Amino acid sequence: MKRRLITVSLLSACALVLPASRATAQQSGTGRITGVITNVESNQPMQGVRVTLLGTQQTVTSNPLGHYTLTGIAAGQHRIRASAIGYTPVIIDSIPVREGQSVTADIAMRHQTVELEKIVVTGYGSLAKRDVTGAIGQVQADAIKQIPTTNAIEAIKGRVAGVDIVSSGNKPGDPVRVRVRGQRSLKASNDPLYVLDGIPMAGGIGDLNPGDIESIEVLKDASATAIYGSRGANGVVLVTSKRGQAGNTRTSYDTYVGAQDITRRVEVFGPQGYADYKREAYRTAGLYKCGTPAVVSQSVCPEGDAVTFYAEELAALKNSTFTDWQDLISRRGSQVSHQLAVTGGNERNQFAVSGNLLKQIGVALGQDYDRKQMRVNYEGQATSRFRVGGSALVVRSLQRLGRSDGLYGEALADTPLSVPYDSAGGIVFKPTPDAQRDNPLSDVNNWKNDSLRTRLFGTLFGQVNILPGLDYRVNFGPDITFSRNGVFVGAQTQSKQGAGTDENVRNRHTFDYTLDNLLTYKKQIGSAHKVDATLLYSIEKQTFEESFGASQNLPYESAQYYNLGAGAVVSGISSQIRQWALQSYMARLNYTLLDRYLLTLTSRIDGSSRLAEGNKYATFPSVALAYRVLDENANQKFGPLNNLKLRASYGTTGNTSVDPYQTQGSLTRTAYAFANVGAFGFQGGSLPNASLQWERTATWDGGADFGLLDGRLTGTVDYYRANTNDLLMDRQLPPSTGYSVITQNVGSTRNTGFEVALTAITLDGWHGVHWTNDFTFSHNKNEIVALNGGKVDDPGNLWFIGQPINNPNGGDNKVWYDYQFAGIWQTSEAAQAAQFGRKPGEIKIVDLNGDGKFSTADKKILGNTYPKWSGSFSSRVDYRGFDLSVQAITRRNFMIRNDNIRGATLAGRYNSPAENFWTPNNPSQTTPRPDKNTENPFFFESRGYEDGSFLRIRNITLGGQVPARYLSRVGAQSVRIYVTAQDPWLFTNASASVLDPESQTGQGIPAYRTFLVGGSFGF
Amino acid sequence: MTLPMTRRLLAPLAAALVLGGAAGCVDLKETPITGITAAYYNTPSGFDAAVNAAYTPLRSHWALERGATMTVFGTDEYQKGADGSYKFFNDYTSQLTGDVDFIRNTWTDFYLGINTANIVIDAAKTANVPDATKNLRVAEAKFLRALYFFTLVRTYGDIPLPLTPTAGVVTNTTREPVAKVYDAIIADLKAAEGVLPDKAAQYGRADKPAAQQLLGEVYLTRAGAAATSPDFALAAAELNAVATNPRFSLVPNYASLWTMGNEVNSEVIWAIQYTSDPLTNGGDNFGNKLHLYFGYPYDLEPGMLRDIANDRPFRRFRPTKWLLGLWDRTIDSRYEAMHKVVWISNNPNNIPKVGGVPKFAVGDTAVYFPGLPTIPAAMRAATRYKLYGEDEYQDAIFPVLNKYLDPTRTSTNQEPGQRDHPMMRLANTYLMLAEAYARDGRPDLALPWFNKVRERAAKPGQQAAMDVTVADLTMPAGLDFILDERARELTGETTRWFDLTRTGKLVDRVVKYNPGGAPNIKPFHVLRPIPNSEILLSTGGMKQNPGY
Repeated sequence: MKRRLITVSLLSACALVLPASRATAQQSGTGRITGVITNVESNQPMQGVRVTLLGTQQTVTSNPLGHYTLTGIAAGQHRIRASAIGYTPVIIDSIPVREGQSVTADIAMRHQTVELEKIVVTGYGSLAKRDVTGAIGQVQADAIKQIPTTNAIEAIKGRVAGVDIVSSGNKPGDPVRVRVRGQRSLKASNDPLYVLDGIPMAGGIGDLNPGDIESIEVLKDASATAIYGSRGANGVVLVTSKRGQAGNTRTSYDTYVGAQDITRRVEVFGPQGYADYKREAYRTAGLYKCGTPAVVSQSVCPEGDAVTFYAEELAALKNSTFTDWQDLISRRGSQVSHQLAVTGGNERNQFAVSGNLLKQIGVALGQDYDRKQMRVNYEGQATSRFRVGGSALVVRSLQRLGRSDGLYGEALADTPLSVPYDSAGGIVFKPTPDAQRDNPLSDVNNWKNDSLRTRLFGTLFGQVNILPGLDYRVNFGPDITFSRNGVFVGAQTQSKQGAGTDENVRNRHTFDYTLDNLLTYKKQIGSAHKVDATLLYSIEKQTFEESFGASQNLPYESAQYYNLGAGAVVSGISSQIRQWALQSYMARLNYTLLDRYLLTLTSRIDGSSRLAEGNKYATFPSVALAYRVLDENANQKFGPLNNLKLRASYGTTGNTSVDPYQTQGSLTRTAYAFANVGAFGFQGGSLPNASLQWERTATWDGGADFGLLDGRLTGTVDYYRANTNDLLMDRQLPPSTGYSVITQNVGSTRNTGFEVALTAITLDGWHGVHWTNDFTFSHNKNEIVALNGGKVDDPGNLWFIGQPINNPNGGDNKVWYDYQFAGIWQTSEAAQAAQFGRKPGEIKIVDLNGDGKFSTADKKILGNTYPKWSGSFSSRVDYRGFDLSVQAITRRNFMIRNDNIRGATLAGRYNSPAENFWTPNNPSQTTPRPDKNTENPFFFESRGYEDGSFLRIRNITLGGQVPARYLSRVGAQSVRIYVTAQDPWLFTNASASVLDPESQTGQGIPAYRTFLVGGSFGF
Repeated sequence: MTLPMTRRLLAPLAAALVLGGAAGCVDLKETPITGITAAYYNTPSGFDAAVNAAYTPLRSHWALERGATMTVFGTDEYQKGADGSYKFFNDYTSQLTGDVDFIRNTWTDFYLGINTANIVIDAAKTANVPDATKNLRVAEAKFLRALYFFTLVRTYGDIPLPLTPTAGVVTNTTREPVAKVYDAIIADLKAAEGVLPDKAAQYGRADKPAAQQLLGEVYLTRAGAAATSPDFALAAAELNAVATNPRFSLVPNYASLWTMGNEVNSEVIWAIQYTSDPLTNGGDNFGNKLHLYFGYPYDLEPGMLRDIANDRPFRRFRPTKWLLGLWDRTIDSRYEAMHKVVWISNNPNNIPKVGGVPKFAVGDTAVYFPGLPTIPAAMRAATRYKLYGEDEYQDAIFPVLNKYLDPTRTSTNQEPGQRDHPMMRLANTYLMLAEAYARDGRPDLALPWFNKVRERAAKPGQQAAMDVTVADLTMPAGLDFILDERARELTGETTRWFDLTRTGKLVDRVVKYNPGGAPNIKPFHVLRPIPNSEILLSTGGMKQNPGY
């Protein structure tokens, strides 16, 4: 409804302008061009396509049968251009027109992902993209559908400049981390706000089926996000779901099935390498002795081996029975999705229903993800002025992770000199007697970590047309999530080492609802002024409840986490409730003068329960201006430029970074006992601070949208600077006060960045070939400007002035502050090493302050995990119903910490990445000498820092439409079959022991690639 | 507009307005339900909760790696073992700085305890609690506050001395002179002594003997290494009151002190409390974890597997050669009583074989530390199990202090244990009392108390042989004799570093007996660095201790 309204007003605006400015260009003749316009995907005729005879101002619109006719054309070669919102414009060259004759030119239109004339959802409404004044990125269904992911937001990775999306892990169903134009907050969340069909989604959008999404818009600058006021500072992700269209009922079935395998594995010592490494560790400790009398020996002898190896290891060496534990716990994963959707309706009522089943079997044993989803969407015109609608989304998902990332860590640490199975084929729980290790296969069977989520997300709306142009709308949106996480750790696990069990259950219930009252007014005043105003009164309220119970030592393990009460010991019990409410008023005015000058003014007032009395309300204003220098629709040109819009905006937004009740201070529960009687208490937890406010971010943005060569090359550039002030920080107090922190509004951060997005229609129908290329480039510089002590570093929190943010929450980006690795002390440097209390074979670090000692004063900033720039490239070729697309993403110049290397204990106890370690005969400069008596090498902290730059081929898809003549037999209207390779290749400088440079420590479950085949069937 | 049309328009409009308006008002007032704020302290249960909370920091230190590292390492008793990240506490190298977490957290946790005690004392002015209860609880709070200040002042020297609860942003903290801190500690303990009952209603709470013992030790410590001081007599008076209190007596058998389940006995004056219930024991980060650190990795030996009974060996603290030679084992039972030297095979899978026949069976001895300087060849030839002579001891091979072993843990790798940690034990009272008398020039009064400790430790029939003479206790040489005895009796009981610093003997003895610390220790090491975070965050102009 809203879309149509805007379309209509847009068209009428054009109609007003065109005759006035172009009345002179009419030419005379008697030739005609006629044809039928069809949608290439559906083969359906298209109504409402504008066809322009280029070089003239003659424009016609196709009728319901897709027919169009241009008349009164002079003889000669002519060019026509067909355009429709959401479709790639088509230009047909060299149409030979003769006087008095009609020539046929049929046109096939195709949905277009990036195009200037499309509709953009802006929050509390939508606009034609050409009328947008802010920085908004958009991704549409086709691009989202192409990425076979369990998490919808991951599908837009690399699609929007300035939006950084990084996997938080590679386990099935793992969430992703999304940052819009960097991060601002030192302590609070830097996650954007997610809004589905106008309703904020309390639990993120991980539950959403990508196939149900019509488009995702990312609001980036303050003029766009200020309408979300206190929650807009981290960007806003608007998700629009698919809805029914008037017309024939359409049924579609989409499916794919794919196989997954590990992209990279860590090369740990093989059997012989491990044996040599362990011997060296014992030699260093003076334990590897040969001969009589026994002396420490560089050679290999049975006496030395007898001291060094477990009986199991000696047997393995003797019998050459080795185990590659990594292989053993890996498997070929799979991912399958089925989606059935029915959409349709008539002029009065439209509906869309869909169901989706998705199952992913992870590449590590025991890990999988299963999601079932249903969605219903209805909109109806109750009376001529009253429109109602609603939607319901029901999702149930089960994520099973077992021992999670630790499973892979176990496989990397276990000795290859051992066997996983006994002679009867049973799993050997302890392949060696080492008290910390076990057989990871036993963990797979006995370690459960299951997250079950049930979510109901609904929307209801009623809209009344009060007067022409004036509408009142009510939105109500409840979002209810139940989640249960059950953990069971059986006796036969690494954690329990054969004795006892641990089990716990955490239940969470979130109820969130939003109620919006919206008044919108659209009016064209004369030919010069266009007004689009929005008023909002909105409330949101959330109640969160959680309960947790844990017990130990079940009498029978089959109860897992389902019968905590059977455990011999209650080891934990807790519950909580948390509530907050938000009351908001928002006004927005879009004003267009002469269809050239655009102005957007917004202001939102938020009142929050989280802040103390007197500070509850805050105002977030913004202003944006745009100037349409060249207008494509008016066929204005300047050299090759045929479209240019300049934008500038300024505004302030906030961050919901105070936890409920935080301003009041709180007491912390303590435990003690007298004799064996519990004596629980409460100590001062956090100091109250009633003066807390929102963090505020003020953003300047300047940008341009442009088109060249008749829209063959279009793009957007933006430059921004965002200053965040009044940071909500835990101001650290001298610990002798008895408190570590008080939360205060102090300090500031800044993000400065530059974004480019380009779309090139490289070939547009050349011999039937359509080829489009998209590029994005983002550069963001994040820096801390001031902290609570002013411009003073805070090394304890890894906060340094002029350096990016290190947010301790949620494994976020990090600044690396550590010792600087300087190689290994060599034998010839023994005397020098001794001055530092070190020996040859140990790690040498840079004595930064030159005081002749190694101490914490020698730590320095080594780098950070923020890329200097990131970019993406995607390319799509269409030819006669076939399509081939490729997408690549890259992140450049950032430092990761390879914890597989850094954490290598080299004590001969656990297996380790296969490194060239130092020995008296091997002057390695990279890896210290193994030493059984050193649990961690001295200054091990200095190792493992390396460049993580990578280029990932994200997606390659080859698809083909089944020709129409075969379709009727199966009763289908359209069938597309495709094959996809997802993440097939990774190019990186990171060392071989980094599982995935996208994670910051290179550990966890390895990244995988997916090869799949899929089909889309339309009926 | 016709009437039906109007109705068609108005009805839904009205409905929408009602819907919009009904939920359109939202209350922004915030009422915590789960949490609780400081007003709670004024209620009877809240006041009690504050008192209980003041006890909790006791568990943050002594019976964890932190407290053990800061009192056991870098002394004459123990040197570094093979594992662990805190070897610089033993070696006194440049890594021991004000940035080390143990340095920082000791400060932070005890000041948290001090602030909680201050809250109790402050809340007593207004809390809705009977006066008798108030006075008692305030006395407990003062005892705890004194203990926390005492630990801090001994560790760091001059320290901030907050005596009221922190409110709002406080940053101008300053270091007060040691003498002023001691005045505050002594005032608190005297006040506590005057109010606390002879026996607390609940075991584990502070009572009068605990306050007296602590005050005695405070006086003894304040006197420092001085040859004469009025504090010696003051200390003797306090400690004598405890020593002669009929509630307490030495248990007859030294070894039984460390029997699991016998932590409550006639010799314990006051102990930090632990339980078998994870809820009241404080979770995974707390509990008594001392069982971890003195272990040797028996689980790497033939015929052995890690199990609960033999504990989880972290191989942190290796006894020094000097310590192992300290007991006259022919007459003194304590070396054997406090060390585990035999391991019984529990793993059939890795018992060594000779000619295909296992050398021993599960249930037989697998490893034995006979305590001999070297193992005679004949003995080795005659034994089927593994033997270690003292010449074979290494960073990961040594006899294990058994005082903290905890076989009641429910799984092999469980860290929290449930032994109470005896902070005050009568044998220590006797030894401190003897020291106070001896240093006050009254070794004759010291002698009986000293000999009581030694006689109890005697092997059967060797009581007389254990006795020492007045000459042994006469200053100045007597001080070393007393310190040696303290090492024999209180081995590993988290007091040693303080014993050596208060008597001015730390540097001397580390140089002599601790090979790791000997090359590096300097006189300034008798104080720890104060946390750099305090210096950085304070606007009161704090300075680091010299040397760091």
